[in-house]
Amino acid sequence: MFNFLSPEAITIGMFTALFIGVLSGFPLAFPIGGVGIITGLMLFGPNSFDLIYGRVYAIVTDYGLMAVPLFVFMGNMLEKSGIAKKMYDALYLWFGGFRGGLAIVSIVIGTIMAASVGIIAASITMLTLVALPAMIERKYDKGIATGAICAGGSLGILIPPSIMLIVYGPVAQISVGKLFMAAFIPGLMLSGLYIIYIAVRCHFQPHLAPAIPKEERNVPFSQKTLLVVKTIVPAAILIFSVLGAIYFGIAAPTEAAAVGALVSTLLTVAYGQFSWKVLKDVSLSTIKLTGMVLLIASCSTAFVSVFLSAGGGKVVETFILNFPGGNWAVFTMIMVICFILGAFIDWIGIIFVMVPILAPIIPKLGFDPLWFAMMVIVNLQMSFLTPPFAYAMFFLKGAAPPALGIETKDIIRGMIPYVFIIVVELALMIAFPQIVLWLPGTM
Amino acid sequence: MGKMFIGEDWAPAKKLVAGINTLSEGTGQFVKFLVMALVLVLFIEVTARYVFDSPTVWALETSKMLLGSIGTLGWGYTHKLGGHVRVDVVYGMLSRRIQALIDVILSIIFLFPLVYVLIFTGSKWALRAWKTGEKMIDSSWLPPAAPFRTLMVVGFCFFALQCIAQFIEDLYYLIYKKELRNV
Repeated sequence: MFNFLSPEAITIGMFTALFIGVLSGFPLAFPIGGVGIITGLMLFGPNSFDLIYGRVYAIVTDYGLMAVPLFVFMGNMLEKSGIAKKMYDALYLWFGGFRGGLAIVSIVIGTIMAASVGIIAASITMLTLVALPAMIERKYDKGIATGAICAGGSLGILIPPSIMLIVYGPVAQISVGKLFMAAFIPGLMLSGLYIIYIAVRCHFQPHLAPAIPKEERNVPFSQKTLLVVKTIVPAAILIFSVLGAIYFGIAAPTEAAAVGALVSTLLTVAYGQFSWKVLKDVSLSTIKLTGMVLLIASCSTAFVSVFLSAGGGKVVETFILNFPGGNWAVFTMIMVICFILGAFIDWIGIIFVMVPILAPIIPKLGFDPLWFAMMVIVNLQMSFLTPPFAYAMFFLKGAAPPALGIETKDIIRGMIPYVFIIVVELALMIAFPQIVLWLPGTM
Repeated sequence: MGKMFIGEDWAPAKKLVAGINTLSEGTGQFVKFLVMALVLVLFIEVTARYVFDSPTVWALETSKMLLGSIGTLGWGYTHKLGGHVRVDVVYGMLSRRIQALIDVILSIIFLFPLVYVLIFTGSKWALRAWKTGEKMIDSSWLPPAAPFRTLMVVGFCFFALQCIAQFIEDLYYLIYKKELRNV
């Protein structure tokens, strides 16, 4: 009955309603799904409900998304295993003597954790509990300390396995295994850039992060080495059992995630931290994130399928292909939009709504879809570190012992430099696309 | 306006909200076992496939049903925990009363149509599955689809109940400027 509306009017209408609904502060998923349903009813009548139900059914039984609860389970389990504390105690002895050494250790542990968990909540919580008190005790600047934890912990969702890659793959119709491999080098590179930043800054401003006196880390070399071996080896086994299986094409990401979930449980048993209660708590806390992801995914696919049926995809395509300035101008616009949205909206909503609409247009602009995917994903790393909606900050504040006196302004001051480092990384990825494309090319 | 029907203490509504919260909490406690089952089922399948070279016929659909159950049954529980993420840049700065107003209005516009469609269409498909003996066709196992489709409807209904509970609490705050649970 409303089919006199032009696709342009529908596009503008749907997105205006979506933004008002989302920015009102009502849970993200509801306005996304609600706008989809109301528009569907207006344009196609009650028959559109079957389409929407079909999309919801497909999402909640999606084999690829099954990896989400498994990786969340794995992350929560590792958090309970106490491996982060052991790793920190070992690496502390090695890096403590350098200026900024403990902040570098935070990035290193964040990176190792990132290769075994796919969520940032677990890595940031672990780092906050283990590394933050030690740094504050040693008179580290609060900005340096919290910045390293936020940046290092956020790597969890970039370095595979990562639930961001798991949801991106099916949405853009790219193999998740290929995405995992494509994310590997950019992830490690970003971690390297973070470490360089800390080392350089603390070299020139030593008062920010004083070195630990020698007497506090006076442990024989053999014992120092043994400590590292005892923590790094189990982590390496875990990482290899998950990522190796995917790289060599042995197992699908979901299967590898199941192995990872079990191995992380065994690791918790081996460290003597396992109990029936731990297993129950881990399983219970897995529901919350899984429920949230599946609901946003369901609602977004409902929105997108109505949007595309109404001809909105064509409108966006025409707009993008006729954008003045050519494909790089469009690309820059997409990146800037991604950055701005990321500062306000949860990344899951951005990926599920934006990517299915943009993905078919990207090859027409002459960009490699895999490379573009990594540009978006690295770009969204900034979304965790840019206030007002900076996840990393929320998780750190939630986990930090109040006695440390960490204030929001300390965290923001600490996070901002890392946002610029991510921009540098994006520039490098534009200049040298092989950073992204080489490893998946060898699969 | 509430006074006319149920008095200022909203006793029946309060009982209803408490009952729904207990239901959601209990559902979460049940769903956690499904999470463990999902890990176990997929691990058994991986072992059977790669170690013993004899993949099971039942693991794929079982794991799909488990994921669907964790998801849909978990929505109400997640909502109770406030786990459905909000963009609280502006929302966080508003008074509780304005927040309640936003939640009440947007529930009517977006949320209730959404849960209505899920329950209504979900029931239709579940009923059809029972009538036609629909099978899940992802593997050669061919299990009946009806029980799972029905369970999804149960999940939608629990989710709807949790939405109603939160709606009542917001509405009460909007009218009386105090929390229903503290009355």
